[in-house]
Amino acid sequence: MMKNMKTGTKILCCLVIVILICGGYIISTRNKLVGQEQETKQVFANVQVYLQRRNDLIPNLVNTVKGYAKHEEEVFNAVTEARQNMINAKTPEETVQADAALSSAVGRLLAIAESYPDLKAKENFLELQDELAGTENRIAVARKDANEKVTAYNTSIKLFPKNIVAKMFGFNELPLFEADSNAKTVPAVSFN
Amino acid sequence: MRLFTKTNRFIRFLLCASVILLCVANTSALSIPKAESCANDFAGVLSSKTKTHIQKTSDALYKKCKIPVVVATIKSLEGEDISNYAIEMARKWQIAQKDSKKGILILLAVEDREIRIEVSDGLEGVLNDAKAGRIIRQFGTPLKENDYNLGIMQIFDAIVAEVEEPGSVVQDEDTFSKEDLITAFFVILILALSFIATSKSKRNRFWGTSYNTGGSWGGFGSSSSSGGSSFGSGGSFGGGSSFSGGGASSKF
Repeated sequence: MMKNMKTGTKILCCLVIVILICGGYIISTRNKLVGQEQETKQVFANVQVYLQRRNDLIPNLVNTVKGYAKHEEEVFNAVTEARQNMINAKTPEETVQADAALSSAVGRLLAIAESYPDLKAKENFLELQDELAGTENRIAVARKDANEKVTAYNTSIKLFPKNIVAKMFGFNELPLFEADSNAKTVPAVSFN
Repeated sequence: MRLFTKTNRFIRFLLCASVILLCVANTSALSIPKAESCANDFAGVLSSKTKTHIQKTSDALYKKCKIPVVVATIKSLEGEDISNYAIEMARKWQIAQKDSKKGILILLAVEDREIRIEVSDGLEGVLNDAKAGRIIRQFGTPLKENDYNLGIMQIFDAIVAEVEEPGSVVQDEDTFSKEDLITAFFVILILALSFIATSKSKRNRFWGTSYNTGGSWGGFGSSSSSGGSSFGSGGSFGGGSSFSGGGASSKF
């Protein structure tokens, strides 16, 4: 009887220790995943901030170009429409599409300037172009950072044994940003 | 069926791991040299007079405003985009100040005939993209005639003048050191608690967090050496990375 009790206590002790270790691991892993998820959301938010900044810059650019190239209505309309689509985009897929359309429209708008030497020489226009190129670059950098974070997060919720904890608390895979080749369509400014 | 899902999962894991390896390979494919001083003439186009001027002015500015302005010349971008190269370099060298997030990198790629001013987040108000572009246009004209010394010197001086201008606030060191103390206290407290409470992997996690809240880079090198436990916890820089692509570049 005495011996039995002892084994019983031993087993109980072992169980308690195992539960404590498992519990500690689960809690720490969960907290870590929450932190990672938050970081990922933060970098996603950065991308949104810069996209918004670009949306704010575009009307100025359109107006400046309009002053010199009045009859390029088609391009102005394309830019305005693409910008509106970008603002209205709800889902990530819509955003990606609208973003691609907007980038190409802005690229065309900037290309127009090439045929208007007066416009090209205007400091105001050049500065707007710099701001736009800078913003596009920030978007690209923020996307790259976001993708790195998302990849790290997605990997960690898939790897054993974290995947068990991830399933337990319902951590889901996050989508990557699409390849950001379109963000690079803004031509580099030349001061010839 | 069970076996099938298991294999499936394994394949997914393999895919994921290879994507990460590719990412790592991509970032390290850029062979960015180590910083030597404030004037890093890797292309060998600057005279010793220019270098001394840059070093002295940069030192003086740093003493006065705690803003590092670093110049680097390289031969070639190795096919990379100058904005990508500049941001990698600025991040790797951890140019920006930890607390104020202020720092500037002027990068000249001689063979590609491109120049870029990379501006950290903390200086966006003082030197926005438009201003950076204007400085290149106004002061970088000698670059066109391959006068790299004059071109770089003029751009450098213009940036220093712009940054020094009244309005760019000088850092108050006291508040920052106080904040640092508090942060350090909490980090130690948390570390001690976590050490007592749980396993080794948890300790790593808290190291990771302290890096991020400190607003520092984390940098590629430092975070991967501090994380160490798995792909997930290391390998990425902190949320407060101070360079996010601001500045301007131009061909000449």
